[in-house]
Amino acid sequence: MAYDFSNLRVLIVDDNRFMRETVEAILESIGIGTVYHAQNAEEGFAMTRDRQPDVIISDWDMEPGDGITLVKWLRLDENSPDRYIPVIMLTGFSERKRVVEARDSGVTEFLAKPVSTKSMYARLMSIIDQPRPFIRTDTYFGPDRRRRADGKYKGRERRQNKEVFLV
Amino acid sequence: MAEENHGNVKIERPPNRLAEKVPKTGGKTVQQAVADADRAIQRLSKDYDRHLADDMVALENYMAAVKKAPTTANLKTLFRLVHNIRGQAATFGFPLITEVGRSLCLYLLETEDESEVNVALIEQHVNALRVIYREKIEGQGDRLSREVVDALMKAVETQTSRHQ
Repeated sequence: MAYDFSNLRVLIVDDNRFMRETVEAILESIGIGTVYHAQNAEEGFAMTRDRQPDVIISDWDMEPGDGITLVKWLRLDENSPDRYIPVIMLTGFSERKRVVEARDSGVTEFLAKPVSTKSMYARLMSIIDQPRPFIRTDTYFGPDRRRRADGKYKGRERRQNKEVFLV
Repeated sequence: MAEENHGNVKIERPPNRLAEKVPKTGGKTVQQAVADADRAIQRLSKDYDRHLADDMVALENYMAAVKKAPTTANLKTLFRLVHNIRGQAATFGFPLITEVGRSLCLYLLETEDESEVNVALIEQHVNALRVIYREKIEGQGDRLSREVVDALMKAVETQTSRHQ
């Protein structure tokens, strides 16, 4: 496969200039056509409104306004410019509680630091080829947190006709 | 947009605009992208050397501040710096800096009460980071380097498990 990403617009949100440049170099190598930068959640939200990127790649730990704050604003704020925009969260931590926190805030994909070109390409392919439906409940709005029907879900089944969407 | 209702759960399927914008042919393969990225990272590496040198000076200063007063504010400043250092180091050939930095960040994240902070453990991490940088230990280093990194990670595991 040789995906042509030249029409894609990606927003990088990170408070570290050098990290933004590194991620941009990787995105340009992949062939991403347009890359925007923002330094924190507030700027990221404004850039999403003004530039309408297709995908956001955000660091988790930023100041002021971290990556989780940005995702929550995008998913839940009534003035959100794009509630469905895919957000790839960069993180150096894979501890379960951090993953659950990000997942429950509406993150689309994770990408572990240090960022590799191969994994970045794979996440973009996943977003394009396997877009997850969005789930709206009283307490959550975001991409379906059940990524696949592996039979491991042990919680109460809250959805009717589950076979319709557990694919 | 397709929507389905399942009791209290509503499922929304927005149109896949990205699939329309990204043809599966005509671009670069993963292998081509990796090769191009390697060259781009190589070009950035000179800037990185200067950037890391500045960060190491800041690291020494921030550690001195923590030793003098291990306040939440000083610990947070140190965390921010180490977070940034570790996020980039492996990309530019210093995976041990990333590992030690990750261990220190994890410790600082898990230790929320400044009165319980182990300044000696923080300093051991900082000293290890400075040695790896000073000696330019690229890749996985030698056996001794590995043992030091493993010992630091083990110490953090022990300390943080006490807090849980």
